[in-house]
Amino acid sequence: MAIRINLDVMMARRKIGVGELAEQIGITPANVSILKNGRAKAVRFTTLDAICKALDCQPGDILEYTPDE
Amino acid sequence: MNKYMNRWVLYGLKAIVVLIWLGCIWGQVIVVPIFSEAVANTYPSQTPLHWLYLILGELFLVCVEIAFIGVWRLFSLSGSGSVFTAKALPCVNLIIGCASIGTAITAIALGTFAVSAWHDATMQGMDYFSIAAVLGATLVAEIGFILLMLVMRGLLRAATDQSDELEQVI
Repeated sequence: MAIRINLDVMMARRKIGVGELAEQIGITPANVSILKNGRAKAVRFTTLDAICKALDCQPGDILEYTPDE
Repeated sequence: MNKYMNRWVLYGLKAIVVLIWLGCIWGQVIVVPIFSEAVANTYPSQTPLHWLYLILGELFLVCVEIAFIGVWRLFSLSGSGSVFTAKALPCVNLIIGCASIGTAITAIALGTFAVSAWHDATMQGMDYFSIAAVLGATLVAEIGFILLMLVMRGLLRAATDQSDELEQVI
């Protein structure tokens, strides 16, 4: 998967943990871990909206495209 | 899924399944033995086939009983909201399998009767064609049911695949 969501940096900047972020977004901590580890295959816009709201950032701050080698 | 399923409807359906099971038991204990004996005693050509008809009738009802175990399980899965999972497919396969065996049993009964009773002088033409027509219509209905279940199984697999894909969306 060439597109991934990089939550680590933004979570560290905002000093927010997995559990707290999960609660604010409205998803399970397991799904937050899936997002963090780049194993997510699809994300809803509503989830992305909630992430950006919780981390006070833009989608471009957490979305990264790396072409497959 | 629970918002789409009325549990009282499922309870009602399960009650009907229980009635069907009781009906099958009644058929196995009373109807099939009496009917097979009546046919064997009424027409000389059918007398040697008494035990065959008895066994075929009993086996047919066993198939119906087993098929409704699959139906009961599907109702339970529908009620718990997990019908669009891999758990449902074996139930559908069980129903199709039982229907296939039941169809084979009907075909054997029809073929046996048609051949054995063809030259029975004691059997009136109306009786012969009535019995053959009933068995033939049952056979066609069973084949239609199997084909319908195959289509439904395809739809279930498509729905299950889509449900699995949707589960991966965070």
